This record gives sequence, structure tokens and C-alpha cells, in this order.
Amino acid sequence: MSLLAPLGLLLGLLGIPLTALYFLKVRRRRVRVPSTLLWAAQARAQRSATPFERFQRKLLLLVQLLILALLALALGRPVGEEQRGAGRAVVLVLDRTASMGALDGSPTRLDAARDQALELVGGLDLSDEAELITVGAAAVVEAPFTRDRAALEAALRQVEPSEAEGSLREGLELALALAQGRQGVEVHLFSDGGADEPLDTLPAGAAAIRLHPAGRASKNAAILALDLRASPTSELERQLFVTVQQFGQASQGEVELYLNGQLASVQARALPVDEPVSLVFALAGEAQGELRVVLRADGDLLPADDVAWAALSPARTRQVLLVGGDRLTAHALAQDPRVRLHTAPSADAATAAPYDATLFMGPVPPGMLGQSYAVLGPHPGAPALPIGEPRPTAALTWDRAHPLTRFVDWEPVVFGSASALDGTGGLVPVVQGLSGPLLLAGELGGGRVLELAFDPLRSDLPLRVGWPVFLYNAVGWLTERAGVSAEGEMIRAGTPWSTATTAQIATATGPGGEVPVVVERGLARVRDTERAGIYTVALGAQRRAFAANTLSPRESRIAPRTTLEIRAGEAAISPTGGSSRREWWRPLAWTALALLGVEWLVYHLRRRD
Amino acid sequence: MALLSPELLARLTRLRLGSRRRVPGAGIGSRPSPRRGQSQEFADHRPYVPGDDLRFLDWHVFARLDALWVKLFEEETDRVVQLLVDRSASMEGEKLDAARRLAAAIGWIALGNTDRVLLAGLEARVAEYLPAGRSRRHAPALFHALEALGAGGNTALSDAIAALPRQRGGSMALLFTDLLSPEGHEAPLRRLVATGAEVHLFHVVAPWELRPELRGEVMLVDSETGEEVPVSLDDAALDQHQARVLAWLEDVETTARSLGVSYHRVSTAAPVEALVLQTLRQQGLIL
Repeated sequence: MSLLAPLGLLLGLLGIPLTALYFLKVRRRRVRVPSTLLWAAQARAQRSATPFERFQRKLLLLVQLLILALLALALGRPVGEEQRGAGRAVVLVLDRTASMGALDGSPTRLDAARDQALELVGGLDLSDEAELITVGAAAVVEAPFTRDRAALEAALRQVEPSEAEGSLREGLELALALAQGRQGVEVHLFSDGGADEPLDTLPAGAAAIRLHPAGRASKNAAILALDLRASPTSELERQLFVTVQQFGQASQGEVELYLNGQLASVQARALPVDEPVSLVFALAGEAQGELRVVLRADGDLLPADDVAWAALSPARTRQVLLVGGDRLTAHALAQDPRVRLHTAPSADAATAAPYDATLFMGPVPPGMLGQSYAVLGPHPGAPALPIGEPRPTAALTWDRAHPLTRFVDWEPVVFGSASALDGTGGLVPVVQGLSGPLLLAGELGGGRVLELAFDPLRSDLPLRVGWPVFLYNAVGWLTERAGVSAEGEMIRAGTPWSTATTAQIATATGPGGEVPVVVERGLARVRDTERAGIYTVALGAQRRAFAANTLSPRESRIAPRTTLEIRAGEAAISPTGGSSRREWWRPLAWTALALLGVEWLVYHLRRRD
Repeated sequence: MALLSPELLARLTRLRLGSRRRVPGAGIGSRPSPRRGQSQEFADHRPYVPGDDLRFLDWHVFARLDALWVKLFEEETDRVVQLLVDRSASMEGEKLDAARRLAAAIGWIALGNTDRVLLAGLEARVAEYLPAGRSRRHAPALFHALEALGAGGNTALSDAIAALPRQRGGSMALLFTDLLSPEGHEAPLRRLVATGAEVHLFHVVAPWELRPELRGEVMLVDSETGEEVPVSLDDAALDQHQARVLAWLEDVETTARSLGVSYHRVSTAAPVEALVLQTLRQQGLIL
């Protein structure tokens, strides 16, 4: 037994004045009476009281001293060594993704999960170390391993709900990685289970993972997709595509469209279970501002996925620079009504003035990092450099869901020569050929980059209808990030938004207030987009807006997971040996309180007698 | 302060002091004597014997029965009513006040019946003494002496009674006391009874003596001896004390009755009018 706060024992010194007061209290009051004749017997009776009766008279003082001693001891925070398992390493993984905002908790699932976590923290031993990881758009360590329960509780109380999709697997992997090398690792996952995210292959090792399920219900209607595109019939009009889906039980839903807060249109639909329902709203070309889509359905439990926003920019032509291109390509680009085409024979112009996108059909100059550009062929300066001699090849597979491959059939294209590439340069293969990737695309330094591993002029692709379609897709994809799309700028909540800028200082305001903007190397970036809604970014004199939406089938499918199957690491926690320390102030304080009740009872019983 | 109001005195004027027994007096008074006398009040007949005063022959009886019977008359004697008031320190306050008022009332009645009334203030000795006087002319002196009677001194009633002047003839001793004396209550009563007087004990008790309004740790100081008695007073202790006092009162009454002493308990809470006009009349002391 030892004391964590020995100074608390000083409270015991109050026993001295307490005893003194008690004896001062018995200093007798002198009362003159006619005669003490009849009182003598009383005095004799009291003097001859039994030891027990005398003890009873002092009982109150003894009880009071005992209460004081217990309180002093409790303030001293005594801890006792206890032969039990060694301290545990407890990792709390708290799911705060959008689905945890479902209103079948107390009131939300996140609140219920937080309560469970707080209860668990309250039951930890002094020797236990605990860590808090939250899973929102990303897994974040909110409190590293600590024995300070107050810090853990404070961190838990500060956890706010996210409206973004998250990965429980990422959170659990982080938890397991941080707990490596520790004994008796317990991972407590407070979550509704993350829908169908596969967790069974987690490298749990010796750690025990326990799910504390949150939520009970499954009924939810959600907006799962929102897309704003130019009308195929008129460049002056745009269309808003909305896809909603009902989970759990069928329902009737209404989708309302608001433009700058004014109700613009309403469509009602029956919402069968698990079947996407698409709706199209027509928008005038001059419309601009904030678009808000609201889904109203009976018994809906998750509000986060019932609203989606779009920042509707006025239609603006894309400034596209073609460097060293051939006439066919220039002609195809010029036919795109969205594009204002600039051509330049050399690469110098590419870095001289800002363009929304630059297409190189020749060497790529340095200094393009952070800008959106396409390298149409295996040219020097491309992210993935060609190696070896070009050889004829053919397309094997391609990502049919990628915007770049939309409506383009790559299979019949004859590639006269394609170069093998030295890696992917940080890009992702989109079209795979016999000898390696034929088309790569991805983000580099905040800008979008695509690269062709073959020379299009040495293939029959320019002769095919797929070539202008591919250029159309490429311009759309490359300029989507530049904020010039007539379709409006939309991202999924939790993903970063960035744009090229010449401004040195930028500020951004989101649905929850001001959010940080990082301006670095000509690129402004907003990382904190976990709240769904419209974000406004001020880049010098220029103002930009984008919308962040949940739009996540995984989060909207709120049926909770009640079991967690981890293939590996089913080992139960079996700490052995050692001793742990347990604080005793709580039982001491409770005992003191009980004695206080006894003292009160004795005092009043005596008064009544 | 007047001991008795004029209204009360007027009401008491019509009363007279009774007696439990006949006592021979030192002179002619209005009290019946065991000796048959020559008063106007017929007492009995007895057969005539030579030498009897022929004036007392009952000629009516002789006419009807043809027998000589002599009428016997009550011989009326006076007596001394001794008002013995305990004026010790324990009587201080309402108890002495009640004793003085009661003594004044009884003295007033007695003086109206040709009794001789004396007053003695007792403590360890006879502290005050007003010799016996007759008729209500004596009343002012009696009342003045009663009013001047102050409390003080220790109680030793036996010694004080022994120091009282002896009275000739029959006497009635009315002792007003709380009997709170270290010598106990029996000794002074025995001493008084031994004087041959008809003894009436007026036991003065204050209600708060049964259950004083005291709580906690108290040092009780005896008003006469200065003795200190420490007691812890709570409800239980007060209950015990009350039971002891009641038992003591019972004991005093039993002792008094066993000695032939009339026992009258006087509560200081009761007005003197009620005591005299109701209680004592019911007990036959006042007629």
C-alpha cells in the first residue's frame, strides 16, 4: 500500500480541533437548583453507567473521528498492490464515420458508443495503458497510450461526428500497428460495424479485438450520387442527376431541389429496398450559386446522407494549351464547345501563363508539378519515363469506370509502338497493354496528370471516333480539378480539395466555420472537408466554391454489424504474473459516507429518545 | 405586594378552619373540646348522678321518659394555629410565595374563628417568629410578617421545630415546606407530631422540579449547600428524574399519613384561591 497524494493525510489533523471541540462541548453549564437532593441519584446512576453505555456516549466522537480518518486516507489516494495480470494495453477505436450519426443511439450511435467507451475507461486499472483512435475520413490517434484516464475521457468527449466515409480497417490496422510489442493488447472497437467492409483478414496477431456494437435499426434513405453535367441537347443548359436508395425497409420519398435556398423543384418517388432510384433535374445555363438536394423519407434514421450540395459555377470555357500537337488533335480539341484552345510549338508557353489544362505532344518542361496536364506519348519529362525500344502492342484490359475511358473502346486500337515505362511515376495504370501500361493517370502535387505510353500518331487511335471522345474525356477530367467545370465542383466529404493559384494567402469557410487552407508551391489545398456542405475559398481576389457530400453507400447502409470475425488473433487476453495497483479512495469515500449516515441516525435517535 | 386580594379576603371571611380531632384548649374558644362544657352547642345525654348541676337536667326527657338525664354541651376551647413556613433557600421564589399566600389565607380564616395564630419562619433555626395572636386585629401583623419572610439559609427543620416555643392546650401545626432537606422528610414530621399538635403538611412543589427545561451537560448547584452535581441531561435522564421525584412525593405522602399527618400537596402552578376554596374544603380542613 502506498499513497499517491500523501498531503491529503493532512486532513486528518482536523481530528485535533474536532476532539477539542467535543470536550469543550462537555464543559458543563452551571445551573442553580433549589436542591440537588433528588439529582444525586441521577448523577450516581450516570457515574455507574456500564462501560458500554459510556462508550455509547463517546460513540459519536469516535464515528466522527473515523469518518475524518477515512476521508483523509481517501484524499491520500492509497493504492494497493494486487496480484493479478500485468497492465493491459487497451486500444479504443471509436468509429465516428457518417453512419454513426444514425439516430438509433442516445441520441446518435456515436453518443452511445462514446458512453460505452467512457464506461470502459472508467473501469481501467491504474496499470492499464489506453489509447484512443478515431475513425473518420482518416484514422487519427486522438490520445496516445497513456495511464491518464482523465486525458482519455477528455479526448473521448471531444470527438465530433464526421459526415465522411471512413475505413474501420484502416483504424484497426493503425491500432494494431501502434500496439505492436505490447503485452495483453485489447482492441475495443466502438462501431456499427462499417457495413460490408472486409475485416476478416486483419493481422490481429495476439491481440484480442472486441466489437462494442452501436445501433439497432437499418432503415435509411440516402442520396448516393449527385452529378451535374451539361445537357446533351444544349450547351446552355445543365442537368442534375440524383440517385437515391432505400435501405432496410421500403418507403416513399421526396427529393427537393433548392437553388440558393429557394425551392426549385420537387420529385416524389417510391423507394424500394436496395434499388437505386435516379432522378434528373433540369437547370438553366445561367443558374449559379448553391444547389441543395434534400431527400425526405419516412422513418429515415441517418440525416447526414439526406442532404447533398453542389456549387454551381457559371459556365466558363476551359483554357487548354496544346503544345506541339498535330492538326488532327488540335481540330478535335477545338470542336469541344467547352474548350478555348491555345496552341504553342514549344513547351515554354506552358509555364508562362496559367492554363486549366496543358496537353503535351512533345517534351514536358520542368515546373509542371501541381498543374493538370497530359503527356500524349512517351516524351521526355513525363512522370513515367520510357525505357527500351518501342514495340507494337495491344490493349488487354482497362478500367471501364474511369472517366478517361468512358465511351472509348480500346480493344481494336492498333498500337504501332508503345514504350515500356520505368515504373508508373506515381500514376495509376488505366489501360493495360501487353508490355505494360498504355494509359496512366493520377494526381501529382495537387494537379491531375495523364500519360500515354504510346505515340498516338503511331497508332490508329486518331483515326477512330474514340480519339476525340478520349480528348473530350481528358479535358473534362483534367479540368475538373481546376474548378472550371460547368458541372460544378463536388468532392466526397473527407477528401482534400485543391486548386492551382497564384495567390499567396487563402482562406476557406465551410459549413462549420473557417477551415484551414494550405497554400504551397502554387497550390491551395483544403484538407478538412469532413463536414458535408458548401465550402467557399478566397484566393486573393478570386472566390471559389466547392461542395462536399457524404455520398457513400457504405455509410448509408446503416444495418449494424453485431459480430466481428477476425480470422487471425482470436487469442484471449491472458495476462500472467506481475501485480497491478488499484486505487482505494472510492471504497474509502463510500465507507465514510455510510458512516456519516450512521452518525446522523445515532444523533437523531438519541434526540428522539 | 398584597398577599391576598380584598375580594379573596372577603370570600374567606365566611369560612372557618376545621379540625380532624378535638383538642383541649388553654382558654374558651370556638373549638370543640373533648371535655364536655358549657357552650351553647348540645353534645349528648348521660344519666343524672347526684351532684350534677340541675340546670342541665333535660326536663323534656324527664317528662316523656320519666328518667333523669343530664344534657351535655360541647365545651368550646380556643387553640393555637401554628403557621410554620420553611423559608430556607430551596423555597426561594414561587415556592415561598405560594407558601406565604396559603399561610396568609389559612391564618385569616383561623383568626376569624377566635383561634390564636402564630407564625414561624423556619430554616436551620427559627428565623422569624410572630407570637400567637387572636382575632383579626392580629391579621395585619401576621400578613406583614409573612411579607417580610425572605428565603435563605439551610434547611434543618427538625432543629427548627425543636426550637419552637411549646404551646399550651391544643394546637394545630401547619407546616409549609418543600421538604428538600438533607435530613430527609420523616424526621421533621416525627418531631412535629411529637409536639402533640394536629399536623398538616403542605408540601410545596414546583412543576419544573419534576421535569426541568434543561438539556446537555449540566453542573447542578445546590442553592442551600452549594454542592455541585454533574449530570448529563437528555430525554431519558429527565424521564428517570421525573420518575424519582414522583416516587419521592409518594413516599413523603405515605410517611406523612403513617404518622397521622394530613398531607396536602401544593403545586405552585395552582392559584391560592383554588387551593383554599376547593381543594382544602374538599379535604375538610376548611369548612
